[in-house]
Amino acid sequence: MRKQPSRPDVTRNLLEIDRLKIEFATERGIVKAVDGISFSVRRETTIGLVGESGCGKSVTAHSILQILTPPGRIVDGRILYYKNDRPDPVDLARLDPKGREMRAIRGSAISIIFQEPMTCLSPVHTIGNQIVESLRVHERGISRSAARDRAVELLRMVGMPAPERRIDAHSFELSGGMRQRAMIAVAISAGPELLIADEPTTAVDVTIQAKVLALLKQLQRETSMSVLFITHDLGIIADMSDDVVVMYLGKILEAGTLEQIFRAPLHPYTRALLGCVPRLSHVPKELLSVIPGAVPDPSARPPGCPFSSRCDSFMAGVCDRHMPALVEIEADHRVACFLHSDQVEAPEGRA
Amino acid sequence: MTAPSATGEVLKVRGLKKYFPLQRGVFKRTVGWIPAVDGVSFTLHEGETLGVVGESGCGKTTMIKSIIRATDPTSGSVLFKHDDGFVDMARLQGDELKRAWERMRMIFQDPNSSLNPRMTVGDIIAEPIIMHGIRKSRRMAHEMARELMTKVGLNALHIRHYPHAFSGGQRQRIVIARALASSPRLLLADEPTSALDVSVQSQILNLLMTLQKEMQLAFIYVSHDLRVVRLVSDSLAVMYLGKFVESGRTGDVYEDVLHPYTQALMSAIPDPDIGNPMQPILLQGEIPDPSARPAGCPFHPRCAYAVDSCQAHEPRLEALGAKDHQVACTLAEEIRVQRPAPDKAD
Repeated sequence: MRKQPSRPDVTRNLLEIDRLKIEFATERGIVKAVDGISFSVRRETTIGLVGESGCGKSVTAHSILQILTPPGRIVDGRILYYKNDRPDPVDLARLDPKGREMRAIRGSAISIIFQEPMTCLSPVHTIGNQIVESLRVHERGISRSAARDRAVELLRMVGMPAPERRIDAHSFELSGGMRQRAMIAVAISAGPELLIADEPTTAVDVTIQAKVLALLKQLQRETSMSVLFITHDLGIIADMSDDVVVMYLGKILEAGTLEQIFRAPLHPYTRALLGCVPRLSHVPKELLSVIPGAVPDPSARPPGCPFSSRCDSFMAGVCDRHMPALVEIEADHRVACFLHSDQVEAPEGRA
Repeated sequence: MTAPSATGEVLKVRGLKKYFPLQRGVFKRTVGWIPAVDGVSFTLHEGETLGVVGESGCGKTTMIKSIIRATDPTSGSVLFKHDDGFVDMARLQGDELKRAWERMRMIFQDPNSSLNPRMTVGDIIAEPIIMHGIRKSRRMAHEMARELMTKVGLNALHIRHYPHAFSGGQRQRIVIARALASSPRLLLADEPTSALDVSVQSQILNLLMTLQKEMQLAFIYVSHDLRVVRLVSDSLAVMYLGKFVESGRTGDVYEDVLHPYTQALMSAIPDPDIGNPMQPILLQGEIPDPSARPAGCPFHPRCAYAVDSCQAHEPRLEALGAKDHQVACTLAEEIRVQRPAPDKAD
């Protein structure tokens, strides 16, 4: 079900990514990790970014917060953020990663949770101190004791058992699932408008995964934040998302609502991907459909459509020559494939 | 390769236990024992797959390591069909163990750590062929390696390449080719596809299922992914703190879930069929440390159905429902009666 924004006066989109390009200058040449992608995050919804290794989904997420690991950098495009319902957006791509404006947004208006909680929790500070610090940085004038009370409340909100006690624990004293919760508590402490979840459940067991997903849904209902959910698991996408973006080697191949992508996928890659995951309705021991070959290395991207080398609808002389434009086929449903449109992606940046 | 009758037993595990010592202090005094695998029994037939599921720390990896003697089991027997009779893997020594290993091979999760980066693919696959004396000369071993590469879907022209030149999925194929070199009867697969991309995972699953059919291979397939396990396995065992808490034919277990733990696991599978939304049973807490095993039923602190008597007695696996379906829960029958009829996936 698609959620409608509750207030009609606010801008529909919270974030608009416009022709974003991210490159990594390596010894072997420039790798185009993200190559001119555009999509929007609507308010109070969850958008799922799905793709296999090297598709650029995590890099896209990191670029929003300007936390790309060097030599990765944004070379072109805009990341428009409509802060606090203001009609004039901030272009995050233009901000200085270390500047005051970016720091005020990072971790406060937009925050992120990772696959491995220990990458963002400090081992030398207690969980409580990390939340209190975050609260006091983003909310001037809050007293230490008030912040501590809020921290306990946040830990209770994310379902931490015995939060009054755990607030003084260090991250290494907690179990994997509790660390995940602590990380989420830190991430939502400043009441973000957008939470980026970068494969948050890939390293945990299914029972814990179920709890983390339920928690994120509950928090979204209570706080009306938007969530950008990154995963390779189509089952999780189906469970969490309102909108879906399918990426492959730095390009968006298809984007639309959950219904459009899962019930009426148009791109051969989306169809093949949905066909090759085992599902509960499959007949046991029956062979799955497959996509031949493997994802090419991002530094050796095939010319034309990046999926052309593995596509079952490949048209020689067309797909390996030109990149199809991402065209809106119906409302909200966009696809980049010559099966559905003749439009070629505009060649830009060339003299 | 000879293909004996499909109904033959290939592995009989009885009361398998693996306890690790809990050591403290400067002198590493043993102060207690951690039961990683605590009395597991099952029988596996030729050409069949036993899927083993459970959360991390449940002992599933330790179990298969004890079966293949990568670690010595504490007690119990692992009767493995070899030549015409059964040998007890838990007691074999020296050359006899080596000979048994020709017929029982293991495939790990991460193909990168199980391939020597300094050896060519040909040498990697030929190594067990030469070691077990299957082919006399290096040239003949490489000839066989070429055949195996073709069999697992690799280009035999790449026999002189090194592992780094292959993708993750292809490396897993190399691992499988090497495992097949000594004509095994049984393959132990520990999460063989969880490090792979979705589009590559299906290729490897198909390869394993095809090889199984062709060669009457038996598999023990350990995974945390219940969608994969349902696809590949004939029978299923759910493991919790070193014990099987439910086992049976895969279809029976998925359609008539008996143990509350299995119910929770099944309810938490994110399925890509939309319109079939996940309604997870959220368990309290997490899997306890095996050294702090709860008294009575090990699952009772997290179980929604638990009553006082669950703390007193540890339930044993008992038959309930379809043939071969077993569950270790004293309340299973009661819960089953209360539960509405299982609706089949449409």
